[in-house]
Amino acid sequence: MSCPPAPVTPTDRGVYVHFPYCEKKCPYCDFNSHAVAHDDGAYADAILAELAGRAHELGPGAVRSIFFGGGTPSLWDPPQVGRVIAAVEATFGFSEAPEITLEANPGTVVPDRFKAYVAHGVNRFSIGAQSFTDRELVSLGRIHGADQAHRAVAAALDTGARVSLDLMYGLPGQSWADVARSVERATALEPHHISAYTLTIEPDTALGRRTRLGLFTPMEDDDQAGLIHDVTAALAAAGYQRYEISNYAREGFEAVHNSLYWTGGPYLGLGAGAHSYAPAPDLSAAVRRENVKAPETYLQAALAGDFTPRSQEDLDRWGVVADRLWVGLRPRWGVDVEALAEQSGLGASLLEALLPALEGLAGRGLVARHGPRWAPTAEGFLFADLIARTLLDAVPAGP
Amino acid sequence: MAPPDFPLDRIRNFSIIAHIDHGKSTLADRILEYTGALSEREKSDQWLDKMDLERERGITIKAQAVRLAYKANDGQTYQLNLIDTPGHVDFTYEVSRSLAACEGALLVVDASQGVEAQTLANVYLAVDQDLEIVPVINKIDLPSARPDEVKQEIEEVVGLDTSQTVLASAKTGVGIPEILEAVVHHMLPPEGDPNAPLQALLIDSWFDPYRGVICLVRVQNGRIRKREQIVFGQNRDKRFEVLEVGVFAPHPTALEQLTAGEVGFFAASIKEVRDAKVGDTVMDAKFRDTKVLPGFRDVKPMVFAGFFPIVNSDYDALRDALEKLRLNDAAFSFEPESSQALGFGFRCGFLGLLHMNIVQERLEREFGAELITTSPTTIYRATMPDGVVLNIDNPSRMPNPGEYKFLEEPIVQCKLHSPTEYVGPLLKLCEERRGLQKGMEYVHETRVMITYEIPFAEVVYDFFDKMKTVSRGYASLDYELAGYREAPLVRLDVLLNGEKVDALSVIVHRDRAYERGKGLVTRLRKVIPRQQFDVAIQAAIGTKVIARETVKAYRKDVTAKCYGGDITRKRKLLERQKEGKKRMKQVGAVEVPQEAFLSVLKVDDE
Repeated sequence: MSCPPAPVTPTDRGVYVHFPYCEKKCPYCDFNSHAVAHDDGAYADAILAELAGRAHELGPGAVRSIFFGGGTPSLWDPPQVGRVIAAVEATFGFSEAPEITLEANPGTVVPDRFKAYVAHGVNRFSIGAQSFTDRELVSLGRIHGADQAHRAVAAALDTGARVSLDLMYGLPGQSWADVARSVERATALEPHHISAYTLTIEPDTALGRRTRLGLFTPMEDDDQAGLIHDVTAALAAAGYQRYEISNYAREGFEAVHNSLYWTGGPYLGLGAGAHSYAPAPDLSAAVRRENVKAPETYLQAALAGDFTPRSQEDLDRWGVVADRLWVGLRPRWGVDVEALAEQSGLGASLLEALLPALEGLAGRGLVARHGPRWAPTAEGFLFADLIARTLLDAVPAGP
Repeated sequence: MAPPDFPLDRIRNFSIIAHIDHGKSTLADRILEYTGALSEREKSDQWLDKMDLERERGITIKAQAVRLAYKANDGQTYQLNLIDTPGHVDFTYEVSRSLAACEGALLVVDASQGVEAQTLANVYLAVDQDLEIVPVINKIDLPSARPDEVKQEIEEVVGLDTSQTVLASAKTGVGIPEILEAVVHHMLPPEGDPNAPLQALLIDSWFDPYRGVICLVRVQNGRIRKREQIVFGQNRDKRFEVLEVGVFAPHPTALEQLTAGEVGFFAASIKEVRDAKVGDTVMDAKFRDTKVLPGFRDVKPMVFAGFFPIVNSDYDALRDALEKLRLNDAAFSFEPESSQALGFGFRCGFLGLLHMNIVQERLEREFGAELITTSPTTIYRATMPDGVVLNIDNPSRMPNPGEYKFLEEPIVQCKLHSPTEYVGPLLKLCEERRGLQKGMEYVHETRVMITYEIPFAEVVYDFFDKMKTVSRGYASLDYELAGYREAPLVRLDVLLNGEKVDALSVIVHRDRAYERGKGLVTRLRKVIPRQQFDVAIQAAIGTKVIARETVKAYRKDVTAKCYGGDITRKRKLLERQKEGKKRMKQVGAVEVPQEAFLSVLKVDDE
C-alpha cells in the first residue's frame, strides 16, 4: 500500500474559532453547543479581544488554516465572520494557500449566504448533511431534510469554494442499501471531501441517556464494522481515498486543519469552550487548554480581558511524544518515528520503548512500516484504539 | 502463698449456640454487663467478634473465652466461663474442640423466626458431646414473637427437652438473670483433679506479635503455673516455659495459675501456631507420659490452589503477606509455584473452600495484594511403576497416562445430620457424587444421621451448597479424611488457540470428563473477552479434544472522531481501558481475565 505524506508540514499552525450557538441541540452531539439567543457582533468582539490577548501563545508567524466550528457557525452573520478572518490575518498573516473552513448546517443556509461567506474570506465549507434519507435525518434530530442537504451542498459548490460533507451511518436497523443511497447521493454531488462517521453514543448526550434507559438500541459493533468496509469501498470507487479513520478525500483535498490535530501541530482556539495546543519547538513540553464553556460567561470574561482557561493540561516531553504517537497513527501517513526521536531529543530511548510495540502491532496486521514512517493498515483503521492503548503502554508518558 | 483453688462445684463452662441474627453477640454482651464484667463506658456492642471480616460474614474464626463472676440467688459466687465458637463446615473440628471444653450450652432461638437450619449443625455437635443444653427463646419483646410455637419446634426439629426454656430479650435485658440461674443450676460443674499431673485441652491458639502464640485452654486435671515447663502431646520433645497465665474478664487479666476445671490462656514464647495445635493436650514437662485427651485431629490442608500476583513485581510482597498469615493459621500452608501461564506464585493449602476464601479476602484487604487464584484441587496420589508414590496437589504435575501404575483419590467420610423429611434428596445427592453409603441412623424420631464415603473432590465442589439447597438448609455436614481409593482419573487440559494453559488444568473422574470439559469451555467462552482474532477454547484429555467453543473476534475497536478538543479526554479514556487490561493475564496472544481461572469451580451453574 502506498503511503502519501501528510498534507501539512511541521511548521504549519492553525486557528480554531468556536461558535457555540445552535437553533436546536442534536441528540448525538456532545460538543459545546447551546440553543439560546445571541448577539453576533458582541460574540465577534469577544473573539477579537481574545485573539489580541492570547496571540502570543501561538507566537509570531503565518497561519495555514482557520476553522469555524460549533455549534452552528453558519448562523453567524457573514460580515462578523469576515471581521474575525481579517483580524487573524492582521495578527499572524497567512501562509500560501490558507484553508479557511466554516461548518454549515444545511437547514440554516440559503445560496446567497454561502456567497456572502466566500466574499468575506471563507474558502471551504464543511456541511453537516449527515444523511440523504429524511427518515434517518428525523431519527438523528436534524432540522433539515434530504433535499435541503442536497441543495446546500450544491449551492456551496457553486461558490467555487471547496466543500466537505459529513455523513453519519451505522444507525439502528440501517442496512447497506440504506447507507449506499446516501453515499451515492453524496458522491454524485462531487464534493471535494467526505467525512463519514459511524454513529457513536456518547454518554452525556440525549442518545446516551436514551440508550441507558433502553429506549434506543445502537447498532452492534460488528455490523458497524461491516458497513465501514462497504462505505470505504464505495467511496474509493467514486474517487475518495480514506486518509483517516472517518475521512475521505479526492487527491489533494485532504483537510489541512484537521491534519494539524493529527500531526501534533500548534493551534490557537478562540471562543467559548475552544481548545488550544501549544507545544515547545523541541517538544520538551506543551500546554493543552480549554476555554470557559458557557457562552455568556465566556463573553463577559473575554470582553473584560479575562482569558483564564476552564482547564489546562501541562505535558512533559514523554507526554508530548505519546500524543504525537497515538493520535499520529490515526491518519494514513502515520508517524516518522525516527524524526520524532530526533526532534524530541529522546533518541534511542524512545525507539527502544516503541519499536517492539510497533513490531508487535505489525505482526497482528494493524500497522505497517513505510521507510521511517509507521502507518495504520486498512485493518488498523478499525483498531485505532487498540493501537493507541498499545503505544500509550509502551511509552512511559503521562502528565 | 497462693490463694486456695476455686471450688470445682462453683465453676460452669458453657457456650452459646445461635443462628447468625438470633442475637448471640447481644446476649453475650448483656451477660457481661449483668455480671459487671463490662463497665458502663465499655458497653460497645459485640465484644466477642473482634475481626471485621468475621463480623461481615457472620463467622467467628478464632474461639474466645470470657470469665465472669456471678453471684447467684443461692448466695454463692460462681465462676462462669463463656466460650465462643467459630462456625462453618470448614471449621467443624475447631467448634467440636470448643464444645469439648464445656459442660453445657445455651441454644438461642429467635422467638419469631424459630429454629433455623444453620443452628442445627452445632446443636448436633453439642448433643454428641453430652452437653446440657438450655434453650433460650430470644427477642420475646418483638410483636411477632411466638414463644410457644418455637418451643414446640425445638422439641420436634432439634429433639430437645424444653422444660427448662428461658424466655428472654437480649435487647431489653429480660430473662438475663434467669439464664444465669439456669447455667448455674441446670449445667454440671466440671470434673477433674487439681492435684493430678497437668492435662489441658488446647481450645485454640493465635499469634500475638508481642507475646508469641497465646493458647486458650481448658484445664482437665492439674494446673498450669507460671515459670513451669510444659510440652504438647503431639510433640513431647519440645519444651516451653510458661511466661504468662491469665483469663479474659473480658480484659486480659494475669493470674498465677489455672487449675482443673478452669478456662484461660497462657503464653510460653511459642513462635508458631503449628506448635500449639487445636485439640492438642498440654502437659507438664515432668510428666511426659501423661495420656492425651481424646478427639485430637491433625488438621492438615486438604484443598490446594495457586495464588499468583497480578503484577509480577508484587511477588515478594505476596510472600511476606502469606508468611504473616501462616503465623496465625496452623491449617494454612504455602510453597513457591511457577506456572507457564501465570508466572511465579504460590501453591497454598487450605481446610476447604471457605477457608480459602477467607485467606484470599484477608490478603486482598489487609495486605492489599491483588491476586489471580487458580481452581482449587485436592491431593491425588500416583503410584509409579517403581513403587514410588507421588502426592499430586497440582494438576499440572500429574504424570501422563502410561507413566504411572495407578491413581488414587482422597475419600472423606461424611456425616450428614438432617431432619428425616430430607433423607430422599440427600441420598440422591450423595449417590450423584459417587458416594458409598456406610450407614443411616435415626438419632431421634425426627432426626437422622447419614454416613457416606465420598471422593473429596466431589465434596469440595459445591457439595455443601447443594446439600443446603436440597434440605432447605436444615442438613449439616461434617467430614474427615478416610483414606485413598483407586479411581480412573484423567487430567483435563484447556487449550487457548492450541496453547495449553497449565493453570486451567483439572483432575476429574473419567466418566465426568466430557461433562466437565463441556461446562468448562462454555463458561470460559463467557468470561474471555472478544479479541482481535478468534479464540478457540478446547478441553482435551491428552491429545484428544473433547469439547470446543470459539470466542469470535471483535471487528472494530475505534473511536470515530478525534479532533483538537477530544485528545485529552480520549487519552484519559484509553488509559482507563488500559488499567482494565492490566488485570488480565496474557496467555500467548490471548488476554485472559482473572475470573477465567476460577471457572472450573462454577461449571455446575450452567
